[in-house]
Amino acid sequence: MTARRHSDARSLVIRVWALLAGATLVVGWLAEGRHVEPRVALTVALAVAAFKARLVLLHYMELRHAPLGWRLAFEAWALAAAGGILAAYWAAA
Amino acid sequence: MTELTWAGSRVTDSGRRLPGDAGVWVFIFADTMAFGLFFLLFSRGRMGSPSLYRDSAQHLSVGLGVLNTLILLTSGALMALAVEAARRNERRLVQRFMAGAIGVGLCFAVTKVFEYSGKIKAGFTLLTNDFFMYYYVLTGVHFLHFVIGIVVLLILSAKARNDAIDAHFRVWIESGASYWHMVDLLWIMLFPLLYLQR
Amino acid sequence: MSIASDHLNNLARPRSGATAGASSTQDSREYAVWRLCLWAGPVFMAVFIVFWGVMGHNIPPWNADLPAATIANWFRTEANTIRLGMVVAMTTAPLYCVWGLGIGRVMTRVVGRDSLLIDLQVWGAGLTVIPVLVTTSFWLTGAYRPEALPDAMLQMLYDMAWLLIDLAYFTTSIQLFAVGAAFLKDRRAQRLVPKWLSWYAIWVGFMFIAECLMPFFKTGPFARDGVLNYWIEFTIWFVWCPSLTFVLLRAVRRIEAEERT
Repeated sequence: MTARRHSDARSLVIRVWALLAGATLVVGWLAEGRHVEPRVALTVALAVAAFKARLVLLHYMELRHAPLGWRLAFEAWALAAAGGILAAYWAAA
Repeated sequence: MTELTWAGSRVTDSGRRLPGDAGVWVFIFADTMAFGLFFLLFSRGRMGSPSLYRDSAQHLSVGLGVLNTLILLTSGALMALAVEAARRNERRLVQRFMAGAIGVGLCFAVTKVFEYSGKIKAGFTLLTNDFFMYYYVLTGVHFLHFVIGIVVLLILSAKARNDAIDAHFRVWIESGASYWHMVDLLWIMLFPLLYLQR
Repeated sequence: MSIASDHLNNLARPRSGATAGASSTQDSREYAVWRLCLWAGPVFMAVFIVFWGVMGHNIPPWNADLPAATIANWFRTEANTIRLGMVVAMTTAPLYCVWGLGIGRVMTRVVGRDSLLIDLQVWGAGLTVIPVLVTTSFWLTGAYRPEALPDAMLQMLYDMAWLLIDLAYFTTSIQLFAVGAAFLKDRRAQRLVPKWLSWYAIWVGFMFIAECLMPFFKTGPFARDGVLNYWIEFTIWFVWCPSLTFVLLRAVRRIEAEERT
């Protein structure tokens, strides 16, 4: 790997981390701060969770470079998990 | 198509491959599916008694949940950096990043112990109600995965110290990192599931 | 203990004559017996499902929240069915150990005869027989003289059996871990056992740990008849046995071809 590719790879890890951490803090703030209804906070939180899961899957677990079957299976899982939890939440609300 | 033996996974015609050993991915996939089932069970339980679950969830600390998430994310990032360093054959960096990943990761254990003991002292146990049953079981099983992950990371650290940073080692560290990221991934879902459905 | 280990190890070791290469009826019978031992696994599973599972009302078991009277009534009205089911289940239980010995011999061709992994697998399989034998005898006891026993006692027999059969899981986990680890070490260009099956075995071994929750719950997914602690746990184990057997039978055919040339 070239030196440039390596520093690219490193900065990618750090950028992804910053996104993940930032998203986490935003969700925490929303949920704790009572700025919005709990229902809205939860919906945002689950959408964010799916987004975070995707970041981890594609960039940390490197599914972006993996055989498509594996990538699709895991992305589907992330979507189904977040979506399923959300659907059940709204069904019960 | 290049066929790598036990060390490493098959590379497809388009150059796509899974990081580490393909077999570990079977494990990761199975575990992820198992947790998916747990999410389903919890959600179904919640639909049966939404007010019980809602009221019980209020007793969890969002702050602690956020802290747990940040700890695992950071540990994961450090692990990703360690893998990247391994690809450059930089033993020193690998060791340092791994030490960081383990050190940060262990904070998760500290917060968990703190969280559990607080709950138990307040009278919320596994048998209190269905919500707390799921809370303890899901986070407990997740914690077991975490402990196994720490053990894997410790073994990898020892290898980074003693073995050559070669292709063989890279398969190990990629596999271990993939498992560790799974631990992170599962928590990303557990956090809103348990802490934020209020 | 070491004598027993030596004995088991000797059984896992092929006799020096067997690999001599000279084709003889003695040699071919050796491999035939080996294959028969491997068949013992699926045979055990099939018999277990019918006689323990169906006749013993174990698919799924009685819910733990039911009153003692329900269990007692079942023992009294279905006594002969239960007796027959348990008799056959008890008789065939040791087949699981026979299966383990067959697996162990395949392991000698991968990790060498002296590997501790072989002992662990064989002992794991062997010790798994014990809770099966003992628990089936408890259910059999309940069906032997149910009219003379109080309801609560019959319920206790039923509970006792389930608590043992579930919580003895770790003996099987040891077998699963050992099998998984051993076949992952295969250095052949084309492995005897596919990697995913080895990892699956290790995963199943870990999954069993959830049974620790069983004694704390009478209903729900973690109870003895729950989605997790019954349906998932038993299914993932039941599915593994015939899968591994199929792969190992193929492996023995390969080994036989390799060793007799």
